[in-house]
Amino acid sequence: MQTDLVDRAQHGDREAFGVLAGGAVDRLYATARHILRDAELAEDATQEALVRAWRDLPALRDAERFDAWLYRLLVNACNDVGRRRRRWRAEITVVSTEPSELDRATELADRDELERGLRRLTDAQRSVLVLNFYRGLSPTEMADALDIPVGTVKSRLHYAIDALRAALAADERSVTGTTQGERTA
Amino acid sequence: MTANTNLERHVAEHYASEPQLRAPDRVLHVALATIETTKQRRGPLAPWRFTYMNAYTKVAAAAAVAIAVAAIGLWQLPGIGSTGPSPTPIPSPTPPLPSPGGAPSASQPPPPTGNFTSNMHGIQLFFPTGWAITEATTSWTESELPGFGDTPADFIYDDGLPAGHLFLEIASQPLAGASGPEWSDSIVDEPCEASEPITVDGVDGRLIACTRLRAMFWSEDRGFVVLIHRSPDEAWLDDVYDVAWFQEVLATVQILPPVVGTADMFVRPFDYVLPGAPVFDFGATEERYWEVRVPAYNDGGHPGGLIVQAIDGLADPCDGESAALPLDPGADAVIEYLRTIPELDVTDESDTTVDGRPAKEIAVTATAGGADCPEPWVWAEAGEPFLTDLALRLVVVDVDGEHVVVTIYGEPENPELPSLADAIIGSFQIAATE
Repeated sequence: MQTDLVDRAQHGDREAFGVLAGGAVDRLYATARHILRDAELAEDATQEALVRAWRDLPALRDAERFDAWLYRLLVNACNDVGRRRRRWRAEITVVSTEPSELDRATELADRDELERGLRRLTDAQRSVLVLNFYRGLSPTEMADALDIPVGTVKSRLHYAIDALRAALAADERSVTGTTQGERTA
Repeated sequence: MTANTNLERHVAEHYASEPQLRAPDRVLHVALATIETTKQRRGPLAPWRFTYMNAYTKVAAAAAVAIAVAAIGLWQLPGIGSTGPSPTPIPSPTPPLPSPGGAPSASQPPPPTGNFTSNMHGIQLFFPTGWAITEATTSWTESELPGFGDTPADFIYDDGLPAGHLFLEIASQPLAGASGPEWSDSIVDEPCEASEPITVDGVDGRLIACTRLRAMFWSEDRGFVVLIHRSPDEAWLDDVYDVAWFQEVLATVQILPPVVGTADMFVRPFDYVLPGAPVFDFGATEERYWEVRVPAYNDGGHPGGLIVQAIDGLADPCDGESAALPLDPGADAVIEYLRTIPELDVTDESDTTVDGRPAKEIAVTATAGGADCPEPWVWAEAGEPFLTDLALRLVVVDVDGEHVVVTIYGEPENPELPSLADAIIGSFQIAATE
């Protein structure tokens, strides 16, 4: 059914694309919200991804990859709108941590702390976490969606988790204080 | 591993507990309305084919595909000269042909068909499919080569082996007035006498082959290192990832060229040149505002770049919504205005030039002004305040009555940025008055 809609949309059928977009918009928006941590930017990114999907749909050679491709467009759009707000603001302060602090960080189940930790990550780091842990994509599916090797997906996940641990530990120690990104978010 | 697993579980539970988010209706409405007036793109080089590549890579990949098609069945690996003085030419940027059989084994390395562009070091190469990547996030400023995992180098590695046993390392730094051979001699790595002249992507270099295979090559102003490290603990690696294999990788190296463009959003547009390394990308480029920055710096948590902005002052710098304050002609008027803002620490004023026009350079740091003025809004057009404690370098020039300010941010954290910024500003060619 979806492949039929994709095929029609590839040939310029706006109505078919409208059905596809309507079925995907909530999923895309929720994903963008978690990546960007900002409702307004998430709206921009979702709209941008849908418009790019329409514009570039004729280039999609395998209609069955539409969902993965749409995630790719969304992550790209998130990167772009994220850059617009970024200018000279640091998004994360990388802090090296001692093993004991890391253990402590991993015990932090508190929602607010985890939320603050996630905010300290870059959009790119949050993207892999969101696709994996929120959307439930496997590394293979993420590789397909992000158009990168599976090994790179795994290493990005690894480093994103490392960065989150460092951010949680830094938050715990209150060494870095409030990041500039948080102040202006 | 346990700590990582626990945290992964926390993240998964965190997301699972999130309420279901629905997009506001306007999101779909606006998108569909936009689509009504948007044509679909149809062409032979449609975006999906190159979606994760940047602009340089797209061009290189298109060229590589064309060359590879022409070369299949004809191209042979370049042999390394025994001791002869003439450089061994390495074709570029053709991707090597996959090894027969494809899958890696003790005698058969995986084909170097993965594509990597180093944003920090401004080169592109192909690497073994399936290897993992850690990208550089800081400049390489030392004479000692970065060790595995250090932030100044890119590492592409086989994560199926113990950490640091098998990896490609990519690094570069400015020659800083040295000749290529002088620079190469200055780099500290394992002692190794076995050196062969090579050319990589058309530039001269050396292939130094001992425990590690290290290619040192240099453009006009920058030295590059690409090496393959093979752990002595895994003797079989020397046979699989040998000189011939390394030369296959080197044959794919492409040094990214400088980017030349025109910023035409000003009353007097200007031409600019961005260096090929590190790779710059563009931030917001809108009327009277142009920004370039280094994405690799941002990935390291230390954004750095340049903003060029035509500005007016603000009547009340504590209120971003207050009226614009027109400034008198000349760069001095801008400096005087900045000095009237109590929350700005303005120091190190000096004279300079921008494309031959007299200009002023100053260092500016915003300080917290309390509840009434937590962050000063300095420019009428800025859209955001100066951030507290962020050290900025400003170059101010009057261009035919338009006050143009170049703001360089992230210099203290990114040691290569000051010279890069000076080079970019030095490349500005402002359009002549009509």
